[in-house]
Amino acid sequence: MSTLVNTLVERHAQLLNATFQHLNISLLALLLAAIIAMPLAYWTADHQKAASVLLQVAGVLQTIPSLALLGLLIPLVGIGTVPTIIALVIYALLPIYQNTYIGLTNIDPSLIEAADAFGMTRSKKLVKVQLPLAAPAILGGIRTALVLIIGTATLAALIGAGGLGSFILLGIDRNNVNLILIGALSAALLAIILSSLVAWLARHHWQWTAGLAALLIVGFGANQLFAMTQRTETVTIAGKLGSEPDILINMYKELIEQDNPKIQVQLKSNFGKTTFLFNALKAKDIDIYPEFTGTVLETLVKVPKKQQNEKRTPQQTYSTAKRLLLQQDQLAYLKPMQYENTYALAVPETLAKENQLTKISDLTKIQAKINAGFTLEFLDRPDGYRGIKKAYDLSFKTRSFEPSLRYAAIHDGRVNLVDAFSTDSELVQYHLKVLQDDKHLFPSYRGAPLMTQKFAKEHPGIVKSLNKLAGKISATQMQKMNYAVNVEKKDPATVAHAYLVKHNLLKRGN
Amino acid sequence: MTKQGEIAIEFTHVQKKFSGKAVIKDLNLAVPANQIFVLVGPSGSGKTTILKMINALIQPNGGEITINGKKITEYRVQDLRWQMGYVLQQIALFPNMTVAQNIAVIPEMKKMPKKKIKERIETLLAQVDLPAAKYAERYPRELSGGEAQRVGIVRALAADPPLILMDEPFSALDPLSRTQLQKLVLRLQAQLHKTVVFVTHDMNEALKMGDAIAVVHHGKIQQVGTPREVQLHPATEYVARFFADTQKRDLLGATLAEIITTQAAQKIEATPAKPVAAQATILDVSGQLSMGKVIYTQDEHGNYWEITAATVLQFLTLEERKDQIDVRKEKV
Repeated sequence: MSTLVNTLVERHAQLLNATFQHLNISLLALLLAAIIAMPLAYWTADHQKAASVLLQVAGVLQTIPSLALLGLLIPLVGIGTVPTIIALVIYALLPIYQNTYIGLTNIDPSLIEAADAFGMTRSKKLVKVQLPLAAPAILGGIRTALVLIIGTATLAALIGAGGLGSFILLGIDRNNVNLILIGALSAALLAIILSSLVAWLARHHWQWTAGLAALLIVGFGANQLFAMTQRTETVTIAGKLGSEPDILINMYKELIEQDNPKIQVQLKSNFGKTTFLFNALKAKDIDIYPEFTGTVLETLVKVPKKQQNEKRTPQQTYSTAKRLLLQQDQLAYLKPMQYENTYALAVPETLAKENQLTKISDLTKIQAKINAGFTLEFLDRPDGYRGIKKAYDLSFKTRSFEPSLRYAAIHDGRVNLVDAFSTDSELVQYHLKVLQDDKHLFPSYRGAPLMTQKFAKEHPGIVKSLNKLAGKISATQMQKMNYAVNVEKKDPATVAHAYLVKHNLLKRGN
Repeated sequence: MTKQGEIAIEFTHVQKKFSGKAVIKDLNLAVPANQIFVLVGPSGSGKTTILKMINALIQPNGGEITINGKKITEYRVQDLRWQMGYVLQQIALFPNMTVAQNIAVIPEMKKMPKKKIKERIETLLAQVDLPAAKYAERYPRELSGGEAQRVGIVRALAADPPLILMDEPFSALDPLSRTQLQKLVLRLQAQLHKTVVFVTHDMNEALKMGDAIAVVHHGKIQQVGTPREVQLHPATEYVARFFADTQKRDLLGATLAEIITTQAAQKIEATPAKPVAAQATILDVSGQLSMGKVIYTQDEHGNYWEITAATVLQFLTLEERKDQIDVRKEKV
């Protein structure tokens, strides 16, 4: 419970931002749905056949699973806010349409006859008689739609529209129950509060509700207009799931914005997995994201057959990746940072000190004392334990562990050697020493910003800003930053800022 | 303003079909100004259709209707309707508005000054014995049926239209309220002298309310005349019978002898108690029956009969239905 409160305190700014985003998406979708559904219901109130067709259609749309609907919309309108809002509008149509229709058609016909007989015009009749009498039903539909939208909008985070779902997604990714709880509870709370607000207004002041809706429409319109007049260029930078990309893109943002005051950077953190981001970049839904050299060769480009089993130095890996990305996808791959996020072998610092271990070949002297805990994948990979046995002529007792459990195992002494990713925050957390891969067995995974060639040409200022990180950030520094975010639960933006300040990458006064 | 004796509304060769079936075949009718003109006839006779053609809620398929000499198709529909008040059987006060707001609907549309509307509401409510101080801010759900229809009448009078249309205005009310409101309308009419078209299926009401009566049957006018003329000199057999029906027999005066001739009563072998005389009426034995007692009677052949409350109820139902069947036969 107390950790939940701590997380809440640390992330309150982020939570506020996500809540606002969530609210923004939800209300916009609700308004659009109401603007579409209510006039349709009014029109079909006198056309029963059209009404039953529309009800059928809205009902069928409602049955499409939300995840599938989002997936179907991506090829049509891309990712981000637009498909999210379209999907939410589609879901909100049925309750609003149905309730408005029922509200209007259930009015006692003698009241309509009276209104006609008193010489009311169509619009007068609508405002004075039909809307007030149908209001409880209509507002009921709006409430249902609102709750539905706020719940479904948590999925928006999956396709890069942000909102409270990003907390849930982040929580799942980091295995952090607190984050999941915060996201879920906030969304639920938001739904409850808004729904009761609508109910309260409906009971007391339905006119106010109508006024409020009108105000919202005007507000959104003004907001859009304001955004249009103020249009500095917006650049969208996304990052994969996890703390490390999150820290990196925050650095990108800060560097770009300080050097290019006319450019505004929008961040989409925890945006998705590799191929999703790669496709989003090619579809120009996002402008930049950090990618690893090893990943490029492994999954994003086709490496010519002859070169497939080549051994490459980190520099060669980068230049091959850069060349192939440009050839195959017209993408520009900027200069990489220093650290490698690749496989590593780690031992407790105490053991390293006692035996003066700095590189993997040093293990030869104490082979017999080694008790290794490896993941199943590492045990089986040619560039994993099998490679180590061959390249370093090493062999020791091994046990297989779940990824998360091997750190616990080395912490309580059951094993004294583990495989790791070189920037894992656990390396700092459990005081582990990474041994240098002196025979270059592990492939190189260096991070560098990826963008389209066109974008790079059009934005030399951004390229210049991002290149400031070239050759910067060591594995240890990255471990510490990951530790700060994952374990100390610090805000990635704060961690990124601190690094930039410490290494004089920001101008004075920042 | 039309003067006494002038024609306010005139129907000339008016026809109306509903889904191909002629409801009004060839209607020629002149409604005199400043009188209560009653259209009376059984349900389905077309009287309400005639009424609704006056305010263009229903459009005729042929012929023409004039109001004060001008064809109704030449009026702007709002202007046409604003010169006639409308009172519905369903009362149809807008439930989302207070009494005052309901009354103000037409005056507001006609852009009457607010102050004048308020005065008008107070005067009119006082005239129908609903003091504004107590009733103006109430909602329709807080009114009894009789009170609601008084407001309905006030609403129709609010903009002081020369013409009032009343579509079975009292049919949904209890007998006491009905009588009160009939008197109220007559009292108002004595002061206001509006041209009133009043639709009812109740001949007694027609006789009581009408300065002139038109008996409608099968979409045709059977007879137009003063109540006295229609009563004393029915023009057709139908009109005569329609009157006979209004002098309905007093069923509570039926004797036990009558009851046992119908299928309602149960014959028994022997009587467990002293039989009641067969000449006793339902009213005579209603006290005992309503307490759940069973009574016994003897017919002229010496047979015993058992009579319960259920027996009497069944008898009354059968008799009532017989009346209705008679009326329905007329319609076909």
